[in-house]
Amino acid sequence: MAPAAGLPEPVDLQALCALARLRVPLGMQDELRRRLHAVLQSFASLGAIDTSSAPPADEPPSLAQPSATGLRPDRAEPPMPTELALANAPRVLLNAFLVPRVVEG
Amino acid sequence: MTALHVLGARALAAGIRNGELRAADVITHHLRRIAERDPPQHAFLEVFADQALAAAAVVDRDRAAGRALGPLAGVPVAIKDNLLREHCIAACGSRMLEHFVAPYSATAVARLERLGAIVVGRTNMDEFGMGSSTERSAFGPTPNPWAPDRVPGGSSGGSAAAVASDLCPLALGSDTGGSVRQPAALCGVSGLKPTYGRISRLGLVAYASSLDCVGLLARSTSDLALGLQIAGADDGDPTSAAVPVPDYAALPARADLRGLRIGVAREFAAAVVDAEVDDAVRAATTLLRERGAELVDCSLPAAEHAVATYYLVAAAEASSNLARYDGVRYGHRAGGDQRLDDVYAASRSSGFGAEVQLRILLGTFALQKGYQDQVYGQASRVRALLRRDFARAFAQCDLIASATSPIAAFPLGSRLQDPVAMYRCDALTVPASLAGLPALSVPCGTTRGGLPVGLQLTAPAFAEPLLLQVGDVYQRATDWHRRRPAP
Repeated sequence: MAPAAGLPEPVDLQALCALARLRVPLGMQDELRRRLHAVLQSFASLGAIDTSSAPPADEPPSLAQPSATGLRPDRAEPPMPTELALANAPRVLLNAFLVPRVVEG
Repeated sequence: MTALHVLGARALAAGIRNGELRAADVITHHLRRIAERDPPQHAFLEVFADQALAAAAVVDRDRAAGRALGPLAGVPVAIKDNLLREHCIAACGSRMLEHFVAPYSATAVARLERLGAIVVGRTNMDEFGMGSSTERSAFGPTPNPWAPDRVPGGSSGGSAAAVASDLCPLALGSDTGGSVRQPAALCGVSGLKPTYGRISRLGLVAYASSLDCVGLLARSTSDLALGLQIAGADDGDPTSAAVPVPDYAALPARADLRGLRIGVAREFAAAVVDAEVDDAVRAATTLLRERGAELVDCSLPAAEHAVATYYLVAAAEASSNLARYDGVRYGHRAGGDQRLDDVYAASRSSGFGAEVQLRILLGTFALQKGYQDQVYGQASRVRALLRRDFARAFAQCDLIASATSPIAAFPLGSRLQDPVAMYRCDALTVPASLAGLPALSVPCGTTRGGLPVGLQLTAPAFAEPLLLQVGDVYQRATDWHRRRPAP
């Protein structure tokens, strides 16, 4: 991230909202844009740091985590009770989620 | 007779085990205290009174029948609202999950209950863990028990306030960038963020997966050690560490700190804004030296950039993790018969609060085409530099001491409009998070206005036993952790 050159001027809020699947009311867009820009400006100096000597960035977050458990054993276990699985369904029809209709097109 | 709510987890468990106390009395007492004090305190979002009383009856029956009791049998605990408990709501402080019923229990919660602890309720938090003040809860703020016009810190502010108000002796929180340690410091209690992977994250609602940790809050490090027995590998969480779990509750007490080198990082000292916080932390490190520790200077150059690094990495991960909340698969849904994209946008925009939306946008920015390496990639590389800084520092010292928070509890509403000012509150806690290291906050003083100050001790990975032992030495020499807000 170059110091300030890394920041789009101004931040294209509409494009970001489309990517993030958010819809910001017109009356709130200026304030959100101001906040987003203030945050990004305060972070801009990060771009000036020389990271050429940085170790690989994809190492585990822990300094010394010797190993993780990896994949869990491949064994059959009792399924989640139907009642629990359906607890968050918008509506239930027999043993199925009933979701509201969405019109595509 | 000492009131039950001031005994602490260890004494309550011992009393129940040896028959001096009944679990039912302990739980009833705490439930009554919650009913009396929590309406203004607003530490809890929901109290599980009937379930807790039923669990207490089981503990008492088991004891009467001569059955072995777990080490936490009958101890009332609270859990943060982002930890799943089967059949219970886990709302994450958000309208998005206001009615979400957990289909299973988080491993941390299940293990706590298996040890005999009794969950009395779920506690308030900043929405999805995104905040340092608990003002970002969709269900209203939690005031600081020491000063109701001030914040308790966040995002585990409800858990910290519950312990500080003696509504429960032990609580679970989560710590992504300081969300256990900072509220612990601001509320005058002890808080532990373990090493990344030490406690399973299965059933902890994801915010930033390379940073999220389940943590503990209690009045004393001795009680934290009791709670840390929930640590250990878990088949359900591939990031949980397959590292042997010591018996934290039975660690030998150190007589003093001789032979221990405690680092004082100049970048941490420079980040403290409040002179009274600085004074309290200096007094605490002086005491550590008087107890035999050698204080050594050390440096963490990349820590100066930790806030920017953390917020870019965490926001990037959050934008991905929170993509699942689309009004179809989970939680809140807005709109009727619409196009699918409209359902997504309407649900997310009305279900998420302002700060969550800001961070999703920040993360989307960090990951968007053309900026990914420049922004997220650069933050990841600085993170790697910070990890290396810690590794070099720990070649010179065993622990690093600092303030937990650059400032004491700030007035409610004072930083809500200024995200940069709010993010700077995390300057001293995010470095350990980025490096995946364990860190402990213990109360170490108060400001002249009576606001608590926290001392943070950071250790190498999996050195929780050392942290707990040093914290215990400090707490046997001081009484800050025993001080309580005015009733």
